[in-house]
Amino acid sequence: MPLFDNIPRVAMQVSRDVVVASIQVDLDDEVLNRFREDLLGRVHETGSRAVILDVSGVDTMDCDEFAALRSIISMITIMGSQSVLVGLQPGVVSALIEMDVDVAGLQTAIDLDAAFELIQMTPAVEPEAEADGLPEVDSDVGQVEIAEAGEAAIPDAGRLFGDES
Amino acid sequence: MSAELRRKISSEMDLRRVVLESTRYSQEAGFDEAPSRMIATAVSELGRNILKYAGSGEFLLRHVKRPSGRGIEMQVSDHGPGINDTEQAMQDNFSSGGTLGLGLPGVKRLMDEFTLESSPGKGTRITARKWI
Repeated sequence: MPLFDNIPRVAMQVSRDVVVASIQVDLDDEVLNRFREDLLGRVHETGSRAVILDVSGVDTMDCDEFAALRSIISMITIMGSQSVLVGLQPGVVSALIEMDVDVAGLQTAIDLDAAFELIQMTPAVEPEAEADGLPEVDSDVGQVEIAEAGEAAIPDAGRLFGDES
Repeated sequence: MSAELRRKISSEMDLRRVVLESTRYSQEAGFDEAPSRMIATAVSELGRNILKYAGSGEFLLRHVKRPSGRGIEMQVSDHGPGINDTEQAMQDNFSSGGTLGLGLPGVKRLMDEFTLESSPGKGTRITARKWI
């Protein structure tokens, strides 16, 4: 993809049926756009049941960056996969809460081990049903997940695309 | 202690740099980890507004003193379209761009003092202070 040639990539690996994305770079618009494409592509390819977003390398996150991250999480949810945000720094958390951002429905964990544990506790989504990329509307698990995140998911996704026009 | 930090913001790259420099500046001024990140986040919010609404603007960060202690002051100004209704812009969830709003109430909460001056067609200046 020549369009993305000089844009830093977010490192990703698949481990135990989970995509682990480690965000160690600043989240500007271009990085986020590329990350979104990479991540959704990876989840689609691998049919992973969960995504762990490691943000321990992010020092500051403003409202726009947080909203962009949230919209990526919403997209993952709609694909039928689960997301866990890991390693939010104290300063980032203080700032986000002071700014009163919407954190409802976000799954977070203190570190990678805790994130894997959290994922183990949630019933698995059938991987073969996911491989076609369609939302998991037939399975009970998929339905519950979409219902939980649905309220936040839809306006967020629309907003991200609206921003780019 | 370093002198004032004065920068022009006209690109995402400038903004990134100013956010990093503000974090370092606040830490050198004596702020702990969390408050210095809060200051940097406020800088990021205000700088992003400049890029979104005015295209470019000026940023200034400096040390301030008062009888009860020390702190820092940021001044962010632009010659953009200005804000028609400053009172409304200070309400949560208000947005003129149909997106996420200006984030000004959030910035006000991140800082201790906050002043917004704006005249439509001329520009906007925001001054905010945080005390140690």
